[in-house]
Amino acid sequence: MEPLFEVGGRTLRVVPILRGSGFDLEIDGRPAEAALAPLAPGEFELRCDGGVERVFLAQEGDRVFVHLRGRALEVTVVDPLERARQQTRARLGAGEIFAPMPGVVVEVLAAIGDAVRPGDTLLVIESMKLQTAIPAEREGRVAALPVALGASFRRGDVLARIESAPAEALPA
Amino acid sequence: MTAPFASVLIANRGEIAVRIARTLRRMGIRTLLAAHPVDADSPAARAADLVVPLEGDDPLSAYLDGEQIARAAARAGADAVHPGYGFLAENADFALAVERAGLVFIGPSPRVIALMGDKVASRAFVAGQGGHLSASVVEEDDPDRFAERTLALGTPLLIKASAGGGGKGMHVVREAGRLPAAIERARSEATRFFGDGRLYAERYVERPRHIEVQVLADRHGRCLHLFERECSIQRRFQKLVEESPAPALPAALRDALHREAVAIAAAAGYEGAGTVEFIVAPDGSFSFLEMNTRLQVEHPVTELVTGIDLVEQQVRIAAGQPLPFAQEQVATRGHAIECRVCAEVPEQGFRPATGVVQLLREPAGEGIRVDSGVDEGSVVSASFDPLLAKLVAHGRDREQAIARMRRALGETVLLGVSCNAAYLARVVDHPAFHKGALHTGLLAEHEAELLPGEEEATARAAAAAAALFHGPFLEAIRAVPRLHAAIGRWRN
Amino acid sequence: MRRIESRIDVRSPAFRRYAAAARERVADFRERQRAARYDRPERDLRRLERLGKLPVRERIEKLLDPGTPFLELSSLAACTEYEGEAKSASVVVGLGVVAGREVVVRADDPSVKGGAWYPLTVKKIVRSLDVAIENRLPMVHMCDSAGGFLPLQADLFPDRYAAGRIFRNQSILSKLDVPQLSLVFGHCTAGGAYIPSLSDYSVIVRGNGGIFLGGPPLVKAATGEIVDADALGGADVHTRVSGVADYSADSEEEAIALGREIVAQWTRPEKARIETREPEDPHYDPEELHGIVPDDIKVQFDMREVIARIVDGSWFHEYQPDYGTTLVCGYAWIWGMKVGLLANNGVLFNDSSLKGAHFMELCNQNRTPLVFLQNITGFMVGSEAESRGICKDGAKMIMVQSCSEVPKLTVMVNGSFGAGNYGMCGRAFDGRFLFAWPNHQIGVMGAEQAANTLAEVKIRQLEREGRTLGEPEIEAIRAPILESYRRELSAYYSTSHLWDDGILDPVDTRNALGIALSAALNAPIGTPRYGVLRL
Repeated sequence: MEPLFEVGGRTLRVVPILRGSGFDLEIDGRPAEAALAPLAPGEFELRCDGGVERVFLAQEGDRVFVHLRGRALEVTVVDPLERARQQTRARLGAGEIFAPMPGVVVEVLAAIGDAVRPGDTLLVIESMKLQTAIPAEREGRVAALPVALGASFRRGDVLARIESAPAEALPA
Repeated sequence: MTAPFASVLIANRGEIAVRIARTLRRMGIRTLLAAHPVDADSPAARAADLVVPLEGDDPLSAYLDGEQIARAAARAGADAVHPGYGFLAENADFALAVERAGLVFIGPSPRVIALMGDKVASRAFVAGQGGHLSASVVEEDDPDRFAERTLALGTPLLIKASAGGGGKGMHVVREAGRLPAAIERARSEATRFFGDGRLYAERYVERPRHIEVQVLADRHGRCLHLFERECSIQRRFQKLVEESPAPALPAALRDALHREAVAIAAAAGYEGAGTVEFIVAPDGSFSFLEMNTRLQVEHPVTELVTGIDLVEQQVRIAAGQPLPFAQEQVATRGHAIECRVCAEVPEQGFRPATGVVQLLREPAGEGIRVDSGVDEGSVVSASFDPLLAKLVAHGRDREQAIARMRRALGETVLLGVSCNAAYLARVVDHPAFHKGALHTGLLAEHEAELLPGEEEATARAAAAAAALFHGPFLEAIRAVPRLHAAIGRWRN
Repeated sequence: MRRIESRIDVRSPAFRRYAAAARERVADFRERQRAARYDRPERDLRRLERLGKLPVRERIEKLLDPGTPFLELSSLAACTEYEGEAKSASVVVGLGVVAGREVVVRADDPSVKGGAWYPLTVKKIVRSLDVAIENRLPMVHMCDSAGGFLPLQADLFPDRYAAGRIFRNQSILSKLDVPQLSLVFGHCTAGGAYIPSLSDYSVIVRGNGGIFLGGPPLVKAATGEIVDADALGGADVHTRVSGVADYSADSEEEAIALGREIVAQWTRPEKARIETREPEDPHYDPEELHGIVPDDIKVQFDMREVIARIVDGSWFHEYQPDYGTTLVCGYAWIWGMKVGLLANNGVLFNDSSLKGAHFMELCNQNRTPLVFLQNITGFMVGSEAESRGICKDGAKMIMVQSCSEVPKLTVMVNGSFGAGNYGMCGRAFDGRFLFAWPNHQIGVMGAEQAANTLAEVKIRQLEREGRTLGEPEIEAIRAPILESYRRELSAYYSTSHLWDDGILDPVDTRNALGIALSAALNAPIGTPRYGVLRL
């Protein structure tokens, strides 16, 4: 499983072709014959697909900033585990949080309309004498809290629903 | 000459604060900078002799807190306050607060600021002076019939905010049916951006040129112009590329614009540096747009073709010194072009970009000037205007200026925050720009050529570079035992 | 060290004939392997797709580090049994690299009878864990099985090396401080539930994954409780309530990515140190291997020609080159690792047996792994050999070989008959890995020899009764024996029963040995000590 590289609206698969002490890159199934040699801090000579050019590179977390051919591009390196989770989130869409076990709601810490972030505790349930905090798993707004304080629920019942919030308009 | 002031406080940030500080330093004036903690380590802060901290959780509000800034300036012992552009530069109340604090406001009087800041009042003033104006309809005159009166102007129309400026809160209406919606949107934007929902409407000139004239007036009654600037390369009413002199402008028209600008400034009793903006129609007719009572973003092109430091003149004028030259003594030499490098993503509808500047390589060379407000490590947030830096190129003629600008843009490397440098390069490279038949719709007209999609070859190269640079990617490869790396991807 | 000088003429008619026959055999092998790996009923594939399950080989490809090799073991297990229904014995086993670590991968194949365990499936799983134990290799299990194939339960449940051995092996592996990870993609029922339970780390896929000692039907039959698989032993029960599984994943991709991250946490052990150098390709073209072994098993060839096309640079330091010449012994490098080779150039005589024993002692003293290249019909028979003590000389060879502490690898190049198999490290002798070429035959003796022997017995018996046999009658005795022997001697019969770790295209031998050797070095090499040698 290799990371995916997102650049300019495309997603490219970059696979290392190992050869003893060195390696080549295969991008989207085609060998790239790529190599990178440092010239000065931040400055490199890039060989790729038969061409040679000067590039500038900087990195922050999972984003690599590349300056080449007169423009700056941002390459996002998507970790496969993160991508798998993103795809699941996109698939599940509805933002529903299901009860992992039967129990009772003992505390409600959010209200409908609240803006929440992943990890914010929405409510606390009690099951088999143990209390569990139920956190929001996505960023958004609390759209529903179907089980009231003190009410009981079964395993798999919806405890909360979070809707992704629309992008905020930026100030002038 | 002795320094006109002992110390001046800059009530601004970013590239203009750096630029003002540069002149103040050269003049031997102690430079104070009012800065919010987010800017404590900015290039502007480092350019100042002393940073006067501003308080407030929201940085934007802090820079708009005129009372706090005036008080802080006085407490810090400043003699004068330079407001830069934007923020409080055209805020009459701020000018008053500064004066009440016993300091000199580097700019015209609060009265003139208020007059020119009100689009309706300023248009009425210019009309009274016999200046050129386009037909307009002011909502306030008869609010109930605003839409009806507006339609009487004919289409296309432009709905604008009275308290507006900087190209914001303007809407073009080409079909009568769209007028009500446009009025609604313009009003809500006007309220949001300027705190004042009053509107006015005027005929929209198709393919207009935006040409403005720089004026300088001292406190001794001398008022002159420093020629014109062409600011027609705009995107959604935001200037992007400016130049001086305006290309392909008939001499008579040029003279007329200069004369009218000076006349307006003089009649208003203007003091300091200001800019009178005009709309020039394809048929050569022109009309007054607005007057900006502060330094413009694009002032460097005027500085490069006249050799005059406008900030220095502003300071001297504010100190009561007379202008050291007469109109006949000023002339343009060569041609200058400026490009605004902004934090935005052209490929994604020019949405604002944020991030940290990871790597910066500024262009240099003959005729190149860079006014930058960021350096490596600067945090670019959504709180402020997306302008990162201005690239200015001067040449013996327009062609040389364009060539130098092209090279300078090509040499500019800014990584960590998306910016429009590549887009600007395509603008400056475009045949329509070369031809010089400029108008405010030029960028929109050629959008397809200016925003090509990223080619697959470039994406591959970028991905290859990123992969070969990305620590975890390389570590995973190095983790593979030597034997298995040597055998490679083999299956039996 | 000298480069082996090849003496064969690759343009000769014989070479071309041998090569053509070998290539045809290899093509046949490849096709059988392809069918075993990929031929599945459409409806089974669709069913898995609907469940959101990836094909087992795709799961493995995603698990492995990009650009790295995978040595699959026993891909044709069960190919002659169960009417061909249990392709690859419904489980895939191989040596691979995950997050830079050498691991054994064992993955149920749910596209074969739901991943049910046949007796040979169990044998293959036990073998995979034996490989893990002997070589101290971490293990990644991919669990997705319908459980034991009940009609054949007697052959997969009660015996010492049957299903229970899987769990005993897992426990012993853990005792040796070697980590195991289970990725639960489907059901782990009954005994199968112990695989993730005995694993150090486990990830379970929500929805499809289930771990339970008794599945819903059994639960209902036993206690009357009606409960669905997910509620009984799904991801949420086991990762939130019971702690039977460690991590839950919402997709197979997530589970595999998480699995890789887990393996990346494991500390890399220090491997046994042996002599190494920079690898070098053989001087001769490995493709020429096809033309070296004649198409008639009775015809001799020089094993040095095989060695020359497998070892680095074709370099070979031959030991006792003039003595015991039917056994070629010497040092060579394979992928930069020093090995001691023993290869047959004829039957084993007294001198070759002694040479073999002595050379193996040297390799143990030198901490040099042993590689056996078998082409052996047996030890020499006859009065001369016997009176010179061939039995005790063969015994010495077997004793030293059995007691060796260095890793042993065996490749059955052509024939492996009788006691020769023993001396040359056949299956019973705990070689770390044993591979076979498609032309390989293994049996107590060759088919012709067996047919002749049995015919001879019959003829003698009838002679004592005063009768003689005519040609047709002799044929009638010989024919069935020839037929059954031919079936049972074939490489496919052997690999089907897991008497080896897989058939190889001869050209793949070098890579297979390199990977196997590297894997073997994860276990420490002990100090040599032998039993009594009958001198």
